[in-house]
Amino acid sequence: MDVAEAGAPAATHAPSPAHVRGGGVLHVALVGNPNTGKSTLFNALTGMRQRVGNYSGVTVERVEGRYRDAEGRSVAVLDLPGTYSLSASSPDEEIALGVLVGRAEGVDTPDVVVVVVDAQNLERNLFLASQVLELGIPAVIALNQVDAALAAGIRVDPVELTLELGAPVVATVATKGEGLDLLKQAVNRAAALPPASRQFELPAEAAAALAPVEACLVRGGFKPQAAGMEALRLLAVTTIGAHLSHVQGLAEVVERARAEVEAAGLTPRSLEAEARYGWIADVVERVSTRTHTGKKSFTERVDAVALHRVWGPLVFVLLMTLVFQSIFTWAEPMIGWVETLFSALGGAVGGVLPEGDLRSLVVDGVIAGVGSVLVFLPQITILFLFIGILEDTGYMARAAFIMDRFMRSVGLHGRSFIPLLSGYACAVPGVMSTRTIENPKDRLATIMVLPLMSCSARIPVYTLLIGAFIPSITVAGILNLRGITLLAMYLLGTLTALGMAAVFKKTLLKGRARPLIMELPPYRLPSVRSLALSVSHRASMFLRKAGTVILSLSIVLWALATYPKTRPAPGATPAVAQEQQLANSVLGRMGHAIEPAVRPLGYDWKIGVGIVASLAAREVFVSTMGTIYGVGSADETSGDLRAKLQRERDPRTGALAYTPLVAVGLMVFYVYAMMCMSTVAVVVRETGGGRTGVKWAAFQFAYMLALAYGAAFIVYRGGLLLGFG
Amino acid sequence: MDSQMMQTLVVGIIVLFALAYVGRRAWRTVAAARGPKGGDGGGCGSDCGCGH
Repeated sequence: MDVAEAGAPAATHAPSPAHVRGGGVLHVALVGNPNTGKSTLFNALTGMRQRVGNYSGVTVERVEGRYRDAEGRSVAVLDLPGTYSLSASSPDEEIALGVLVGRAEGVDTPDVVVVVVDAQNLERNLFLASQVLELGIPAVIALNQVDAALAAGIRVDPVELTLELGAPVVATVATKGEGLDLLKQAVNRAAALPPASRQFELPAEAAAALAPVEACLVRGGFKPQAAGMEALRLLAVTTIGAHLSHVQGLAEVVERARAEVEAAGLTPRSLEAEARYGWIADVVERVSTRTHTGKKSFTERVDAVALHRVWGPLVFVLLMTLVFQSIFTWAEPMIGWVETLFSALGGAVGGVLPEGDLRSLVVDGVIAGVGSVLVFLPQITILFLFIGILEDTGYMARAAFIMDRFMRSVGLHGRSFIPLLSGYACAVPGVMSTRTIENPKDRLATIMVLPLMSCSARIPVYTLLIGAFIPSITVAGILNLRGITLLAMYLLGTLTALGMAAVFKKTLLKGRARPLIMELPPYRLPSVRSLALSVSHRASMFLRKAGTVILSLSIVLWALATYPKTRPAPGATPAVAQEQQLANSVLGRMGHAIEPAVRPLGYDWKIGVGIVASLAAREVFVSTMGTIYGVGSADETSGDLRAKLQRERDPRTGALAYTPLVAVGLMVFYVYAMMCMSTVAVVVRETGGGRTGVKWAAFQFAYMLALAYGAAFIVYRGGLLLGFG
Repeated sequence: MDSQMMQTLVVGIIVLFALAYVGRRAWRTVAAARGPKGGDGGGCGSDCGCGH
């Protein structure tokens, strides 16, 4: 199939929509089913780097970008969350509908809507497209992934489809940038075209029953055409959306219309779906042809193993083991290089600056603090490279199906998997992506357990402790104990999240489990550009965090660890003098005040201070330890933080202060503890805001802290009893 | 002013700037919690992973 536009020639010399509106900027909204390549198209149009993935639900918020058209006018493009319909039954669908009908706060009503349609799944995609067209907003259909459709033996005629829908259709391949110029031209002309209208007939009784609803909506400010679509949609939904709350008497007329439709022997809930899908089936028949080769496709052959009841979970576990093994084996040499670099930098700066507070701040505070976190950049990069490969190939969607069995057994909705998966990167976008879950109780249960998934901020903590205290021993001939330990921490978080979800679903948030209905995308080779963008984006976020939050906190913690100055005891060695200075500093005193609370877990005051400081962000634990050991060490170039932790001795007993048992207990503490204020803030907002939101966030913080303390206590005390101390 | 005093003064200014930055971040986090549901990713800073 050629990439071609099938637009109306009459529009060629039409005035530009920007002129029609007089605002100077053309506002375009991008809508479509999940996983149609919408975000890829958005990136291709705007040159932005919005996250993309080969599974549904990647875009959870509206994101805006801009481009200039051929005539130099600015076009603002809004990428809306993927949605299967405009039924507004989940928060993300409500966002999309609110924007399209001009009822979203702070967002301009779009001048043109681009509906991204997957050429491989035309029937399902046209449901949303036809709903959008009926709103009467100028629209263009981007028939995307036509190359993949052709490879699967599906040929769609864009000219025929234009005639059927009454709106221009442009064939595109967003991943290769094909069809973009034609799409931009079509967008520019769309506002001058007559709006599309409903192409199918409703039964006469239904049309009569809906007339008062339409009239009510028109009185509420809706355009007649959009009122027709809204009235039909309202028959099927249980709640009237927030965007209609201003329409007087709507609930009553909708209720009457439902009764009349039922009296006519029709089903209100399925009326729209039956009428629309009936028409769509005819359209698809006329505009597309399908060639059956008879052979199983590559995707079907791989899925025979990847989704097998026995082999599927085994492949999943093997892949995860490979990922965590590689994080340690591949990153170790790179970590050594970064450590050497920072050690040399500390030595060089220490040699240039004269002795005094400024030198101590730069060497012990900034370089020791920030440097101790930055050494973990290689591991974070490798983890996100693997996650990117699994997402882009389409395997993550399969992982969702494999996990669905476990999710349902604990009462979680299948749709909870994608938010939980996002939690491995960062809990904040994960919590926001729960908006795709329709049932409020399911959504709340997912939010409550989501921060138990080990996010990337925990990696520096895990790898510092594993690198320092877990020996690099080969297990079963090929596996390394360090990789197994890291995998164990991730599994512990995941299994506990599922366990806690089961508890919540049987107590506070009772409700039955709902099955997962999710599209399985075809397998494809990952795009090198997309992978490079994703990994560099993650790496730059990590570097930015190190250069802002961690840098600032390192400076503050250095000041707390340095002042007030203490006169060293007569005859004290430099090492003892440094230790006394640290113990008498503000930080030292605060640490000693905290120590009784953390002593039962086997921690000293330094770890106690690290835990409290890491409430700002988990990585701050590592930078705090780096700063404490930078200030408290007489030798400014004496190796890396891991070596310092291994050598640390308890001043009271002279025994080693940190043992592998303490390290494992501390990692377990970090698996469970909610040490992230950004997540607390987003949970407050997403659980209703105000007092309700604060209550849920406080409950979550408290239960996770109790879990962390209890588990770390059991690990440490249990380990001592078993003789592991 | 001797070198030691100069260093302490510079350090004082740097620490004040760092404190102000940490305070601003903390304030923004609290403000994000109050923000409208369904709005942008106010709760997620530039470093959290959600593209803001």
